[in-house]
Amino acid sequence: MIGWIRAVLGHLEARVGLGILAFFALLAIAHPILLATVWHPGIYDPRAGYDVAISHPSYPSFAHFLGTDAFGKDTFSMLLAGTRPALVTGVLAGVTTAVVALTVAAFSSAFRPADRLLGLLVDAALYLPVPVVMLILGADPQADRLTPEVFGLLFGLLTGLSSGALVLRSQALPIMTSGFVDAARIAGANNRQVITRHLIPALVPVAGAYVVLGAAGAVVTQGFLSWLSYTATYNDWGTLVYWAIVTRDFTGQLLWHVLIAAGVALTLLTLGFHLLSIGFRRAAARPWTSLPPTYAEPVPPEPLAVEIAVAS
Amino acid sequence: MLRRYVAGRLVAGLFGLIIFLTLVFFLARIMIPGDITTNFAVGGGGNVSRVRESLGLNRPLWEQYLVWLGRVLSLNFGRTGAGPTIMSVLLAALPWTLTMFGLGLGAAFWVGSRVGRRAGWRRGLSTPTSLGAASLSSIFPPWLVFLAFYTTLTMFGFRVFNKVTALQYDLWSEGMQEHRVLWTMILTVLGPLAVSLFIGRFITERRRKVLWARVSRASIPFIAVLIWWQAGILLHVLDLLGFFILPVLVLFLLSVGDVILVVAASMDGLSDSDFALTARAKGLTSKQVRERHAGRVALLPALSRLTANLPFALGGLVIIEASFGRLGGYRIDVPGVASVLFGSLRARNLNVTLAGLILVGVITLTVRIGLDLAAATLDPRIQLERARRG
Repeated sequence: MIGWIRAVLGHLEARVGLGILAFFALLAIAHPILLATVWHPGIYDPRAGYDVAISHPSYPSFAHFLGTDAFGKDTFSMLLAGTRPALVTGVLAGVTTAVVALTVAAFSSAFRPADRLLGLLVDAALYLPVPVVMLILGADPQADRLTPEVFGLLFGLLTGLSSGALVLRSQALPIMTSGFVDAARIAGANNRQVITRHLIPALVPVAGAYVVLGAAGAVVTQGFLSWLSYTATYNDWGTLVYWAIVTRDFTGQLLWHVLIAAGVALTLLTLGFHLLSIGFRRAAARPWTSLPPTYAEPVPPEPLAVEIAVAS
Repeated sequence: MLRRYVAGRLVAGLFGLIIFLTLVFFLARIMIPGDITTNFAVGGGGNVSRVRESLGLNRPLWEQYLVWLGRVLSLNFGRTGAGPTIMSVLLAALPWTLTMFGLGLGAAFWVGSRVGRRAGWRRGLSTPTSLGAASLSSIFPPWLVFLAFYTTLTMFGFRVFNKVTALQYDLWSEGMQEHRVLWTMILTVLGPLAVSLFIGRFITERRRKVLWARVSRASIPFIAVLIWWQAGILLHVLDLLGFFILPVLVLFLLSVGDVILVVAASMDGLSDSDFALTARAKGLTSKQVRERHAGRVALLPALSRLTANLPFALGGLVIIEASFGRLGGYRIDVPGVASVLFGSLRARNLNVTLAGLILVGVITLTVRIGLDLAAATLDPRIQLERARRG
């Protein structure tokens, strides 16, 4: 495991990506603290704050770093409040994607009859346009199903079943027929041991690349759906964009500072996930050098015929 | 051999499609409360229950499912409530989506593979390339890019979108229908292309084959424009193409970064591979080896990645269409499949939603088979393997 982390973080992209994600995590943690200490809740509350000292909407000023919107709410505070749902969705979606995809890959490479069935399931899941499915799930305004947690889990499930499982299944096949698995079997390893000790460790970096991509997709889709007000979150970046546009109809001005703030936040978070994914993909591209030490022992090259002739 | 393979894929794909349909049916019926009668529930209980009875909505769910499946399998989708058949609505929406998808992804692949080859040659995926490509693909979540374009341009007083996004009224007022023009447009481009490919199969000599391919493909635009001019729709086509600039640009920007990333990464080490050395030894220039030999190999992972990402590519298309349609008040929607899906979801017209999803499924199936065939032409080994398996 430590070997993996080192292999992934050895790439600059992964470090930058992780840095961005950590930055957002800090923002999410900072918001309640700021509200409790520095910010007056009556002015800075992301749902009901109102600053009576100035007229709204206002452009960025010292008291309001990113200005206020047409209702007098502080944009920066709303932005920070939206960080938590976005992060929760992304991380949950990513982890679920990896777990589902790894499970499908492990099952289908271990039990041949299951492979047929799972193959059919994956085939069917590949037809599902995930954002549309999420739309259907969120279409009931009374139920308000799509909390960040539910959204992340479902998105991860669908992504893992479709593209994640497709890729991991095809990656699992060469591993199960490779030399070291044969050797392990001859040494007496049973199916379970082969899967837990050989297959899954070898698949982790590939799964990692998909985790992170699933996370990025989930964040973007969630932003979009809450822009359409199909999700159950009321304080996130999508709603920020929505209100910035809608209030144009009665204030007469498009709140570009709100739009750009939400846009930059969403882009940065997605970029963080993408970069981390590239780190994983790079680690996966050279599996034999980045495997944990037990696997990394270099195989001495076979001597050429000429060398044998010279030696003898 | 090829025909048999396609037939096999088609049968397997249709089977998967039916599983998908079942999932979608129960998902939609269970998750969305109410049905079409919810829209006029104010009319009083008696009427609602009578309508529900006449539509068969009061019967158990599995019975409804079987009836619906039977209708779908006999390609009878029914009507959209009062007016036209669902089939005709979808056929009118399909060319918008197809044009967007084809132009956007085609451009992304064309540009992305070129840039990726150049960036990845001899180096593989270098850090600047990966950083640049990743930021390219994450900066443009579809709706955001449009908003960014829109806000900045209107802020500086450009009225670009009103011009680009709304069709010229007087051109279309004579009863010319957009989707007919679009279908003609698609068919006049794809038809000559198919003819060119078909005739090319019968030419055996290599030099002549290449010559034929070049000449025939270069003449396709001229043939198409000639046909449009003769049919009197040239201006209409140009108007529509202007309309497509923005959505296609968004789709292009969204997918080009990923193509660059994958192609550049798989160029790694190809410059030292045996076939590249052989080609160099035969006297080809480095550029020729890069473009013709290594580039073809490096395109394969990009294709297989697209196959895996199809649910998202099509879903992203849905997002783009919807974003363009929802920017308060301006008439700039793309009346494609996604708009049909949204509208019907809003109206609880589940039959239309389901038919739209079937259409999305059929598009997916077609694109997947097409991608498989493209992979087989690029890499003869794939074809051989299939021939062995039968």
